[in-house]
Amino acid sequence: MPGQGAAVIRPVEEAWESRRMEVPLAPLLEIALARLARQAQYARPLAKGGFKAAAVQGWFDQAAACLRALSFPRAFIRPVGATVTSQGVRIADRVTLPDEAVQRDVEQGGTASVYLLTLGYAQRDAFAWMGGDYSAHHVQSDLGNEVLFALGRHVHAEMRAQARGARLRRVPIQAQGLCGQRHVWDPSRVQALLSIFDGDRTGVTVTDTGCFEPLNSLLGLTLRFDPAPGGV
Amino acid sequence: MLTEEDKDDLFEAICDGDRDTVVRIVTKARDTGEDLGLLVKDVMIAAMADVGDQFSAGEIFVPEMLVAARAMQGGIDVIEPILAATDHEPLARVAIGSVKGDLHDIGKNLVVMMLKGAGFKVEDLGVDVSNEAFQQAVDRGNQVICLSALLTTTKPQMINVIKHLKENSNQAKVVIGGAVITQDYADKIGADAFGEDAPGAVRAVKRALGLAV
Repeated sequence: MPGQGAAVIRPVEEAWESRRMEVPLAPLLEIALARLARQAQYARPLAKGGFKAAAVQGWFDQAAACLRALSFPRAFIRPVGATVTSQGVRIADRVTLPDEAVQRDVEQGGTASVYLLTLGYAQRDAFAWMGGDYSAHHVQSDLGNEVLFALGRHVHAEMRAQARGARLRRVPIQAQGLCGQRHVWDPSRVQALLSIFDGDRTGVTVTDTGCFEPLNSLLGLTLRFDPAPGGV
Repeated sequence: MLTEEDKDDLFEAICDGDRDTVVRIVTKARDTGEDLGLLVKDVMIAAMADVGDQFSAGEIFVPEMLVAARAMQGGIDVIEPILAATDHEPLARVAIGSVKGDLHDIGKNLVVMMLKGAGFKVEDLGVDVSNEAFQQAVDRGNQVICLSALLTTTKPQMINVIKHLKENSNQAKVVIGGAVITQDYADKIGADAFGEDAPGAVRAVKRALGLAV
């Protein structure tokens, strides 16, 4: 177990101010569509041309139109206290993360913020918007995942710009679609961490089974390490 | 009537995702008195089965399967009103849903498309489906209930569904699948069959019904 010694209490450091970012969809969509087209599953039919390419391109267009109609990407960032305990790193005095790498980071002087990303629309609404077309809905789901990842990269870049000279590390807590890797935390702890944003009207909830609603949402920690004064 | 060449072209057009050609040949079949039930079974379903085998073998990816399903559906749309007006029966009636607590639908949706392409009548119950809703689907005459789960946290809910159905004198077969499901798990919880992917789910439903080995 991490942290077998005496508890190290770290003060809350306001590394960042609490922020709510409403990110324009258009640039995210452009990046996401390009990445989707490069995925082997789509690149191959697109390269073949003919009916397959036309169908895939048509679904790309439908999926993009669906996201333009329903999606409003947002990010919420909130600095939190991180405390090393015998069970792991306790975040915001609400939930404990038994992650040795995170503990080492915090012990080295890292400060923590929790981020929440969401595309802000429900998959059932997307399915209805697409007239119950299963194929188009499938492609929309893949595109939504790519837009969410693009949102994550955008937000991380914004945080990096705000913390010039500091080193940042992202620790995703739960990622839609990564079913084999999502149980870093059990659902009750994800709910506890998400409660940090109560009052922000994020529109994001987590079920008892660990599903985000909206599904295209992502919760995680960003650890920040500022260079020592006078250091290289 | 269609020539053998027409039927070969129809088969290839579905595999290639050429919806216009599928619609043209199926329209010709409809207008010339072809046995449409036989055409669906011998050519169109066979083509989708071939596509499913290619996917399971790793020869094609999901989008190419979707393109084929779209072409197939173009043909079905032409002849469905006629089939519905005759004695044509689906292979069986299947209801499918993601279990309570699971909001994921992508895997389930692929299975819906492949089951339809295989000649089944499919009732999509959606996501986060309660035990009672599955039971009601059985009461409506569905012969197979397909349960989908993507998460380790929702997988155990399959046990509850099966228990609930048994307590209500379930006569339907239960087929399970999803990213976290294995054959061992299916055996352990008393499911009738397990589908390892969307085409595999079609084979599993057939196995459960005794339509295939």
